[in-house]
Amino acid sequence: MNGQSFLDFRNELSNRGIVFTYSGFLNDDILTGIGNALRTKLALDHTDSKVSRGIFSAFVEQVQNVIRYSAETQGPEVDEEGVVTDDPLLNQEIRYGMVAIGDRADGKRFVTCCNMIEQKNVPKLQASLESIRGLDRKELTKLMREQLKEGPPEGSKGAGVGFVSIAREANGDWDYEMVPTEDPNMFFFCFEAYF
Amino acid sequence: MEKILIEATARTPKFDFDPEKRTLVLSGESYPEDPQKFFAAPLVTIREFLKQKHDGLVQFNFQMTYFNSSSAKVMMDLFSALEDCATEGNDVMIEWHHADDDDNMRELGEEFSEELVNAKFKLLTFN
Repeated sequence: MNGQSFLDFRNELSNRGIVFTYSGFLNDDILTGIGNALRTKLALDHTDSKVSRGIFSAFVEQVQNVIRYSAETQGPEVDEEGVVTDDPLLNQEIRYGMVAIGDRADGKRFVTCCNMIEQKNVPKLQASLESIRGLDRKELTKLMREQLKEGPPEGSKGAGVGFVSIAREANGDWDYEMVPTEDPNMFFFCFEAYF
Repeated sequence: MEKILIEATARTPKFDFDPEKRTLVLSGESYPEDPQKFFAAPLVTIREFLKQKHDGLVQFNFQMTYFNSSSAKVMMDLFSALEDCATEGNDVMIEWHHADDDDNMRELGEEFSEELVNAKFKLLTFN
């Protein structure tokens, strides 16, 4: 047992202003659970209602992105014929990702989500994020309507407007990074929105 | 055509459709794991309803406190279907309710209403 290392880990998180964090395999129940605790914390802190709504919304969109798109995935279990098992524990899919919510030194709050993505998907995601960089709230709201009307882009399972929606709620204050990993086929994608 | 009443859950809205009164009220929050799973069946009825000719006002009220981007797609599709219904000669009113200080929800309603030409649109605040 090395309790000290966990205390050091906790202190490291706390030094970075992180109030909530989860790292591991995610499913939709995690989203519900952390989301409820996050709302309670924001209420207990008497956080401004607009800021609270923005943080919660960014949290939901980002965690749903991880659940849908993280390249590190496990399950559901299938039999020899490729049919998904009936077992309620084994017939689900879980995906690995990281979530962190906290306070910056300047008082702004951040909502960060990170997950592995395959190298082949990097250019497309990068292009779509760069296309909305620098857009203000009004432009993002208009873009959101246009994308909702046109339908999801190819290869997307959601409305394809998740990032536009986060960028909009954060009033254009967001950033991302694609960090190379030891595996040339995998990049560590981090997205952060500020409130 | 049957009434539809689906009570709200933590992550899905209350869905209250009354074909005789020609009203739909959608209220609460919407960020289900799969919005299609929640909305697909009731929307089949709603689409069928909106294709008919109606003698009185068709009124849809959106009283949402939060919805995620994949649920926003459903709202937009409803706006389009309501506009088509109005274009066919029906009297259609959409009410978009939002909390007093919720600029985000208000702006989304305003933006969505850009799709409307023949349907009427009203912004209202929750009490």
